[in-house]
Amino acid sequence: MKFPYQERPRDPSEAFPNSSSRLVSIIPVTVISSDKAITIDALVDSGADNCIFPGMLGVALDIDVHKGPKQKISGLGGRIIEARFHNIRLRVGSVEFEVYAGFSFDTIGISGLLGQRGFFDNFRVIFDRTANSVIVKKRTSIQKLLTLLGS
Amino acid sequence: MQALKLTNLLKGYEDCWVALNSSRTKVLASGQTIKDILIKAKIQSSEQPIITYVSRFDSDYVG
Repeated sequence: MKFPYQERPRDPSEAFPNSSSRLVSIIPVTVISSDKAITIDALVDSGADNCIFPGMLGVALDIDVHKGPKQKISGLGGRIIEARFHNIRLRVGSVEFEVYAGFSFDTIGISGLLGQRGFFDNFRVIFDRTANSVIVKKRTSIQKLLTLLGS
Repeated sequence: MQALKLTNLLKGYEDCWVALNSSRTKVLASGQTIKDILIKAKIQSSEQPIITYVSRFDSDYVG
């Protein structure tokens, strides 16, 4: 599956005075829990350990977010947020799969993050910024096994 | 492939949650919570909206 990079607004700054937009590797995913499904944009982020979504998305999906096991998460600047983890299903294009994802009521500054655990271990990802595309290919069970065996 | 150009569409929605139509040509609803914009979007259209958060314009993002 091939998704276009998204061009979104930003203010010109001292460092980038001629830049009034940014290109981001954001793709649409459908987050599914029981009989509810919501399609949301999420950043494909190889630097994220986990898939993280806002707590209010969990609430909209009728997930009892606060009951999930908690995990601290930190990023640049050292700010620590807390996420509560739940088993959900994600749909990317026509591919649906189970993910143990975090939901946080702290500000994450983005609609969602698709990280290493849950996303990158299910898909091979190619970021081709000059071609404006993010290519995601589902890993088959055999491919996963071969990767584990080091082939 | 062309980048998906959302700069003009999202310009007025800094730091807001937005519901877009499936072809991303129209903002169906905007607000501060996902629940609110899902309700508002349902009034505007029967199609499943795409929910997105419009990040601040004055800072770049590092995940």
